[in-house]
Amino acid sequence: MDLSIFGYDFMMRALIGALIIGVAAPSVGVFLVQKRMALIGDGIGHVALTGVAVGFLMGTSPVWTAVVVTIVGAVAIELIRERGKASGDVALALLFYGGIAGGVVLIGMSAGKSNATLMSYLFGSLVTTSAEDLRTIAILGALVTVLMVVLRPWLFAVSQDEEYAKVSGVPVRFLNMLLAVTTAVTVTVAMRAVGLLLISALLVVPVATMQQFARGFTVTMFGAMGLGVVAAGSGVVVAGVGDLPPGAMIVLMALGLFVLVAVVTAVVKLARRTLLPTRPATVAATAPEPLDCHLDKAA
Amino acid sequence: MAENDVPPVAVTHGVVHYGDRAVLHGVDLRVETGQAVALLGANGSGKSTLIKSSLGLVRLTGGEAALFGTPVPRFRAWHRVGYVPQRLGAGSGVPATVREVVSAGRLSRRVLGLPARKRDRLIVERALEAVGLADRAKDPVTSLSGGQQQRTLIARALAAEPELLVLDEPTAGVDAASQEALAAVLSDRVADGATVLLVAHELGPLEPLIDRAVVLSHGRIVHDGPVPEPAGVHAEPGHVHVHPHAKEEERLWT
Repeated sequence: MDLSIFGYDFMMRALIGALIIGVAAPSVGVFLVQKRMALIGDGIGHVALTGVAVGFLMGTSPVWTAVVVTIVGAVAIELIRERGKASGDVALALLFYGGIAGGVVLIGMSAGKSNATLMSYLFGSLVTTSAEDLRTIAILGALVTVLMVVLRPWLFAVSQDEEYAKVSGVPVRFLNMLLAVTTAVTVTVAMRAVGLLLISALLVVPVATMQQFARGFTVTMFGAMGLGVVAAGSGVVVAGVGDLPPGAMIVLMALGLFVLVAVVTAVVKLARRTLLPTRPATVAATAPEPLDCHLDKAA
Repeated sequence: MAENDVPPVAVTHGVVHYGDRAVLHGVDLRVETGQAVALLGANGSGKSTLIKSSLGLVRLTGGEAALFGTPVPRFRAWHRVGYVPQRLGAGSGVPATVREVVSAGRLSRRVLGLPARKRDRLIVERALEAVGLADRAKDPVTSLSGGQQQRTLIARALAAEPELLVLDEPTAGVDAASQEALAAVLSDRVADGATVLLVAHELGPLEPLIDRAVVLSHGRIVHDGPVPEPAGVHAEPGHVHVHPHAKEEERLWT
């Protein structure tokens, strides 16, 4: 394997940027998956396109306008969700189409921007990461990761059982907003690496991979962060050596890990079943109990 | 009661509407310190709604709810309250161990962003032991039986070291062993001076520790006093069936 391409600064910046995003994205994603909002990253990614276009129009850095616009979008979704005014998937649909359409029209209005620029945001442009971009990625990525790790027990409580969290005095509203804003920041940071259309993969796929065999939440979270690093690192290396698009390669690596784990867990389960045909203790512990025959209608 | 006149739970003229439908019609409920009160009634009688509104989880459309003398919207001392919902929040597929779920109950005593102290971990272990799940602490909650999951939720409430325990149908769909474990834990808490308010369809092994029963029917309190004798209540017009005959009760009320 010819790794000489990593002698270039731009390739090293790409690799470091990808690794940071690889850690940060699943640390947020684990809470989104737990809240059954796995696709929210996609919705916010679409909104980010409008943010990028606003940056082009105003002649400022698209990353910062995208951060502002996605935070506004994420807070709006959270408010809609909290009030229960629209179901989650309808809110997402509004964002998907509004965000993409707004972005494409606005980019069309800005002078001298080609489809190539649009493509670089939709599918990532890791190798064009400048030293300044890398600094932004590092600061925001570290901020997101530290917040998620430090607030893990509280965010876990809110995502797992919001009602119970409320009567535990956990600041539910604040934490939901924080999670929305953090998701927005992560999406904007990661759009440089994997692109807005593939962003959700990095938030969700490593978590889904861990879910297949992990027994606890903490293990799932840190395991997913580790898998995110592995996918990001190997994706950039393979893309660099084979001259392939790094963003898509990172996502394929993450999916490859998912399939690998799925196969291994299936084999292990099968082996356990054939080697240990009867395990009465386990059977008793998991034996189904009669379901409640009725839900309290008032509840 | 003499030295502490502030009731842990007080709902005054509580009215709750779901849409246009009134579920509670001006209910008054006052639970005194150290009491063990059971809310009984058929499905749809409003008993779950009443305890949820007493905690602020369901918004009152009329009247007022207070916890330890403070109106619920301004109540902050949540570590004094241990809430046991009907069931574990809908699983999303992200696994969580029994200990992780129980630890969430300790958050009302922790400072946001600071790590758990030794004492926090100790209390969580004690709560696990109290419900007999210490040996399952590292197992995913989804691998437990319904009764064991219910015990997990009770351990989570105990982890706050609460003065008031509010339980929503803790015995529904729970095996006999878990019902006994629950009764033991609760009588322990009551002996320690804790106040208990629970919703039940049938009391079963909990009956000896209940010293007051409040029966709801169609959003109104129809009985407040000792646990009603099934035969006697049966004889009255508009009786409310509260004794453990789940099958019969279903026919009566659904």
